[in-house]
Amino acid sequence: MNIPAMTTQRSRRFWTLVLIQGFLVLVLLLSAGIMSVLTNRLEHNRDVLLSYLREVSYASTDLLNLQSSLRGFIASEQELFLEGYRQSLPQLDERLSLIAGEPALPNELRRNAHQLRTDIAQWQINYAEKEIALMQSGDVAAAQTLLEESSSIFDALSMRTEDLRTEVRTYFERINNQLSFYNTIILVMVITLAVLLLVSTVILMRFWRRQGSLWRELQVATDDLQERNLALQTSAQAQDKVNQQLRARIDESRLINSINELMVTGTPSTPLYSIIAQRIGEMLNGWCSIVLEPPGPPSERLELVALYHPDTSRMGLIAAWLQNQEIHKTEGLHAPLFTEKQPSIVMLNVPQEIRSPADLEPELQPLADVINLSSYIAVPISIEDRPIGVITIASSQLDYTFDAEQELFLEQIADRISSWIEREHLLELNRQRATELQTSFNSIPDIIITFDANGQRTRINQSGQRFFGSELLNGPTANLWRKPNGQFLTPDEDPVTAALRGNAASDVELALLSQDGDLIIHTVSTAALRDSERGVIGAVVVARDITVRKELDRLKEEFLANMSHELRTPLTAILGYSELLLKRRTEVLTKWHVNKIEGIRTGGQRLLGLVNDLLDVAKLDAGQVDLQRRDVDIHTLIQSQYNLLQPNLHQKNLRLQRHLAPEVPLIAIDSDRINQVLTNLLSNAIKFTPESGTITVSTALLHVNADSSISWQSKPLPDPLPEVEPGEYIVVTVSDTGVGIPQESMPHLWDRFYQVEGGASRRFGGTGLGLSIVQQLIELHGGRVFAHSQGSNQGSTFGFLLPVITTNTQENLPYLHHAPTILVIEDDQDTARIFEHHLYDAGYNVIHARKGHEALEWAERIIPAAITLDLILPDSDGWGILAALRQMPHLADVPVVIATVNDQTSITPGLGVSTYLVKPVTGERLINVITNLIGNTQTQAGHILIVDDDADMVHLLQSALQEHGFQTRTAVDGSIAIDMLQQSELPKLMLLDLMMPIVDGFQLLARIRDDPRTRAIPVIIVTARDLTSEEVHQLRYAAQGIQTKHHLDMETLVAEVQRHVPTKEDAPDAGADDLAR
Amino acid sequence: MPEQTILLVEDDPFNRDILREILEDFPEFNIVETANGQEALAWLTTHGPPALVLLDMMMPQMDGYTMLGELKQRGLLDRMRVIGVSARAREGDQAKALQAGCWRYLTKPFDIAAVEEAVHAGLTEPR
Repeated sequence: MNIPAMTTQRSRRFWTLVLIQGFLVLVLLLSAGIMSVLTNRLEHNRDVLLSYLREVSYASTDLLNLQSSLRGFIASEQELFLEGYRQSLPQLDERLSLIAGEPALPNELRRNAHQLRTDIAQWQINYAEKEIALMQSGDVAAAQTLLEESSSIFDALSMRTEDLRTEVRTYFERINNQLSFYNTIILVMVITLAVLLLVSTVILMRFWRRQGSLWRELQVATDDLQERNLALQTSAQAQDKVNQQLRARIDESRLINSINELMVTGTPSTPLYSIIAQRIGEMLNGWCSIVLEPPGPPSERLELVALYHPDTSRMGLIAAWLQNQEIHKTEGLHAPLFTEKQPSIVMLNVPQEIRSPADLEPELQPLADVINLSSYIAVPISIEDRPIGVITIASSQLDYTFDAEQELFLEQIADRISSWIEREHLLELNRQRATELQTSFNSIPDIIITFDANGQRTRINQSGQRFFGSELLNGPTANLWRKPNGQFLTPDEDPVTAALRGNAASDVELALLSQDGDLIIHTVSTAALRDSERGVIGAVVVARDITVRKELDRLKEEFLANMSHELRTPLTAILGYSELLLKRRTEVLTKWHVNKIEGIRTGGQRLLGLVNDLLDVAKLDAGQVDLQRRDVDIHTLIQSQYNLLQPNLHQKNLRLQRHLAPEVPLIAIDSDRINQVLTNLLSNAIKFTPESGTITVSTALLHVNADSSISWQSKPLPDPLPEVEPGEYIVVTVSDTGVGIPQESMPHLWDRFYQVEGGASRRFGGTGLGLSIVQQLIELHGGRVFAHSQGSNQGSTFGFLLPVITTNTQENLPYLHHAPTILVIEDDQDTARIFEHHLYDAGYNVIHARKGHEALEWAERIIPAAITLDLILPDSDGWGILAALRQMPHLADVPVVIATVNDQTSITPGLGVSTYLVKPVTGERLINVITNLIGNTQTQAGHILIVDDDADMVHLLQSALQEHGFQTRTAVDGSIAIDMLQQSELPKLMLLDLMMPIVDGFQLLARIRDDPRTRAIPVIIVTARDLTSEEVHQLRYAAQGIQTKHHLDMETLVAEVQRHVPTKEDAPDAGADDLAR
Repeated sequence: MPEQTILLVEDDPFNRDILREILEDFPEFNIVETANGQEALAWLTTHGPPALVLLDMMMPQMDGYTMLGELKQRGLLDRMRVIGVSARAREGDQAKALQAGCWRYLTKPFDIAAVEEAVHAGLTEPR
């Protein structure tokens, strides 16, 4: 509510109203006045008129009188009537002259009156007087005649008089009306006036009242405003103060930020301290100094590292003066910071007595004005609560004092400086440690490699780099190590994978591939690298070259083997001769002799047994035991053991019970070795069981499930079984009622040379090798051994688990060192086996992958020299696998030979073999493949037939080939190609697109392969990268149509591979001839 | 009479047999065969020190060393000559045996001549 405006408005309105009213009143008054005047006049006139009305009516009467008088006179000749006449006439005349002379009357009326008077006078003269005269004269007749003559005139006069009267009356009435009208008006005016006055009074009153309240409001508002104004003023002042403070804090903040920036990138040093001091000093326009402990042994001294003084021209001098001062921790204003560990010294107003330094050299006196302190704040710079320096700000100007906030500011700076210094210490320490670590890392002769959580190599030490060389290190890590026999490790066996899973390994023997291609045995230990929060973050592998040790081991083994051999030779003599002698016992020999010779034989036999055991141990250690697996019924073995051991059993009156489960199938085992195992266990049972005891042999079949539970497939055995991988197993146990095994021996039972009663005082002989050999042999078969006993003299049970494998399972072919490795991707077992053997015979190592994903896993881990791919795989799309293989960078140059298989006759698989290239094909690649297949243009004449319906492709291929000097012919469709093949010279090579109308690639391929004429033409299929299932279906269909002989195609396949990957024995261009076959 | 006895302590029957055969070259002496240390000790306690003891050092239940220790404890050892025999032919073994109280140490397999010589010496050499 804008009171002033309102008030003004209202005032204006009021005054306008008042003015209007006043005006109106004035007007009214004026009008009233005028009206009253007029009314008065009118009244007056009226009154006059009234009188004149009387007059005029008298006049009329007079006239009548006149007339009548005259008439009367005339008639009567009485003078009496003349009196009347004489009387009336002047009266009339007077009257009329009155009327004519009355200015109040209208002029016309007056004129009329005058005229009438005149006319009457005339009449008088002309007639009346004449008449009289006549009369007097006695001429009454004349007088009557004259009277009659004048009667009309007199009538006219009288009428005029009447008219005059009427006029006057009318006029009178008019005046009256006017008067009443005027009166009414006046009345109305008065009423209006009264109303106006009333209204204006009311308005005035209201206005006054309103005005009053408004005024009060205004007053209140004004008061209020004043108050606010006052408050505002106060707050403005306060605000100013706050702003000032704020500005100061902002400045300080900015300064701290800028100092932070300095500290982030720089190391603590005098120049940087100086910058800090300068910035602080400039901001505060005062001193700023920083003192710190000098480097080296702790002392009481402090040295000045930075100083700023606002008087920059003399700053140098001041600094020099201070330097000379020899600043001590315990002396000076800052002393309490050190001696009493005070958190700060704040003297916003320095006491007079300490404002200036006490002793100032004379030459420095001129500086006295600037070397004094009026305000002083000092804050310690501390590391771990120990003050190591001071940062000080001070003001020399008497009128400029610091405030308490600046203490906070200084503390923040001090804080940062101390963090900075600490950080620098830590960094230095870190650097030292890192250097130490790096040196150790690189000076260790063992190979150390670290990996991240994804199995990617992060670090390798110098020994490792020297060993592997950069080329190997650029390839996949899995390529770096092998099993000791040279074979590739499966992903589970890979040390890095195991370590990342958390399974650390110690001293695993692996062969590491050196940069010269040699496999060198190392002992490898791995461990996971862990972070307390994130768990496994990587792995570390340490490998030590144990070639020497291995060599020693090997020599030992060789020695052992040799020695065993050497030992056996004399034994032949001992045993042989004693046997011979005993044969002739009935001849010259006495009982005594026989006895002794039998002693020799027994001794010899024992020795032989021992030598055999030692030999076995040596062979097992060297991994030289090859199992000759055949499908065997283990019960047969047990039976023959039983037969063999009859005498021994009989000797001690031992009973042998057999509980053999009929469900136990044939399993593929080395029967000699398992026999050895059985013999050992049974002999032990016999040896350790006292007379009349019982030995029980049991067998059973079981299935170990993924959750480690056991599903018995035959009558269960009560014995607890060791943990094995899920699968099918047979279990064989030999239990006895003999001396049992004490608890403390259990862990060592299978150890080499361990004997329960070892040492000199043993009841039973033996080398302690037996059980160790048993364990190794069983484990070689993929099984596990176990034993338990209730304790001494409570019998014991020894047993083993053997996985149920039949000879259909893949054998391990020995590894060819330095031979290329082919990755065979083939799901059909028989085909794969055949491939393997053929390739192996040709001098290649083979890795066999049965499924697509397995193949990809292998491909990722190793670099095979070539890959053969069966496009029809059970779990994946062969083309998809091909595409995936092609996308692996380290396989870019590895040729993939596609082998499609006739899947109808899996017994005698048919093969269509071609080399596939996947589009887009670079010209170079194409030429390479072609050259490999048929030689280059210099060695081969003839043309290359391109069969493709894609004109652009054809053009590209042609260009590429022609550039290299090859001749080309083209066919846009298979049917045309067939014609060409039939009619004209055979091409040396065909480039074939799969998808063509009429006769497509597969059909063409089938035709080509069927026809002996064209069978030998190498075919390269150039196909698009994405193949639809349609195309795969086509392939299958086409594959069925390809009938080829088993034998020939194997050779072809091998030859194919050889073309790409010559082995050491192959001549470079041996291939061409093979294909012509 | 014990002075006329040679005590044989050997667990292996063949070795015992061989030794006995050798000892039959000294017919004036009685040969007592024991198969283990305990048997031997029992005999010694009962009969006193023999002319010579042939002691196999490696035997079950109580080996040669233990037996010698027992004998030493009972104060019987100085009155006997013990020839220790063992298949252990390593360097320390001889010293060990001698320290345990053996007068001589022979290794197996037996060198017949060496055994004969040692027995002869053991029976004839003055203490």
